[in-house]
Amino acid sequence: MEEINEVELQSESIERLLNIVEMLNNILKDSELIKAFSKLVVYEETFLLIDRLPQIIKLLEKISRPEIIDKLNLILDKLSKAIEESEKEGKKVYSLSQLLEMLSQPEVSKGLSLFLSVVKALGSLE
Amino acid sequence: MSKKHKFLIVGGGAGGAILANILVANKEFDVTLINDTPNHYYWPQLLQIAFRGDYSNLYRPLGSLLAKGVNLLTDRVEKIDLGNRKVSLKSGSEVDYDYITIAPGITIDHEGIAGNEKLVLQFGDFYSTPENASKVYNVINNMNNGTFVISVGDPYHRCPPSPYEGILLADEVFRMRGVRENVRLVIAVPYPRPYPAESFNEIIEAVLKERGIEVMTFFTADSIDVEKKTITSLEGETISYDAAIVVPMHKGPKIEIKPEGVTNEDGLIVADKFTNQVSGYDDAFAIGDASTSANAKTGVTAHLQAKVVARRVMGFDAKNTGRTNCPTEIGFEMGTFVISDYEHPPAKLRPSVFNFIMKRLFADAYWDIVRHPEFWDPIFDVYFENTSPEILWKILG
Repeated sequence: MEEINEVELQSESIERLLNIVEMLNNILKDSELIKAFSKLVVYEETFLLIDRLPQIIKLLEKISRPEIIDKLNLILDKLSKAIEESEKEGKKVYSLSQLLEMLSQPEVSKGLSLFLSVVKALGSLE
Repeated sequence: MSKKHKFLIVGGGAGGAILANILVANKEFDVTLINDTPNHYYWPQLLQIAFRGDYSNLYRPLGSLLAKGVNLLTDRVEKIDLGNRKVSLKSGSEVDYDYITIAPGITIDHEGIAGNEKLVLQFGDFYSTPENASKVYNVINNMNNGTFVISVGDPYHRCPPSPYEGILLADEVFRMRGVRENVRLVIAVPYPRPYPAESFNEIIEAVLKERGIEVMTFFTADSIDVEKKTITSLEGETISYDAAIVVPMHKGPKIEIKPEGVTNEDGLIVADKFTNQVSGYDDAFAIGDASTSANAKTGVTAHLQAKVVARRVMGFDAKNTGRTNCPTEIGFEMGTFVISDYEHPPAKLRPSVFNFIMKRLFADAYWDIVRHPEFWDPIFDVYFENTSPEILWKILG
């Protein structure tokens, strides 16, 4: 009895496989569908992307290094916290004397120095 | 061992066949399906025959779509007696049941609009038979000038976007043949705007305008004069044509259902829109095109209703959400979907190549979807959850 069930199961599986092959065959025979797939993929930009794939992969490799990901995470965390804080404070307007006073705060001067380093690095680009 | 419940399904379309395949996996039910033909038809293919000449996906033997264990009877159901739980067949035999689901689909009634039987003989349609769809293909591939009209006589027709698909695919064919400049295309509808639902109208009206298709609103086709080549509306307007298709009236099945009162004036079975239960009968359900519980006459609606019936008879409190998912092909490898539910009107889903691909892949997978709901339903559950009208409205506005 079990053997018969096993044979039946196998025959059902083969039938299913044949149905799937038929389905794939129908998909591959549908010229409009193939054209639509091509429309999704074949653009001038797609070719540019393929052409520059080695550089893009190198760039992605750099970005995906653990230390870079950690740094990016940290920056995003700090940014979102800063945004939250500023939202809490509302649209507060600082006077010139208040701004000068803020410059003396260690976090602000540290941030400004980092910001200026980035600006300097950007400026040194040819 | 307790006795199995006799579950009878009348009609082997999408809803009936899927319900049978779900229920047969449950040992509590002895499932019998009665269908009047040995084949199962994929009706959206009529559109592909009419405008592409593609007959490939039209039908399969029903037996090949049913899981092992489903008893298939090829016979015509003549009478259903809900009070006595008996079904009479054309062959003379009677079948009794513990549960019944009525899913025989609709009857196309060309005579419902005066002159439509003659019109369909000339130009065909894409609602009734492959032969009539084939006539449409011949017409649009031989017409070089004049006015081609698609007019809606029955707003409750199968596949709500189909008249728009028809006129847009006709436009594509005429353009490909290089005669579009000489052919005037008109779609005449009973609604105050091209598409009845205002939100989706924003999408479809823009497409019709861009493709140079004229729209006549408040035009419910009432009679056709094939000699004069005119269609007159209930509202009193007349339009002339050189070739025309009038969407025929859709009526309930030609089955005597007792007691009287369970069907409405069009012969559709009155059923609850959430549970599909026939009013007054715990053991009777009606799903698909023949049921008033179907808010769209489409295979997807019947499929979802079949799932609800299966879950209800298994003891779960499942309910229809009224979800529609009508794929709409607009030509030039572009498509969209009419996605709505009881709570939300259709989302403003813009035409895209991606939607066209989705439609075609769905059509290619159709036979496997019917035969193997146990494989496809979990996939569709995820699809329906993530494309719910509520989500789409939030994303698309």
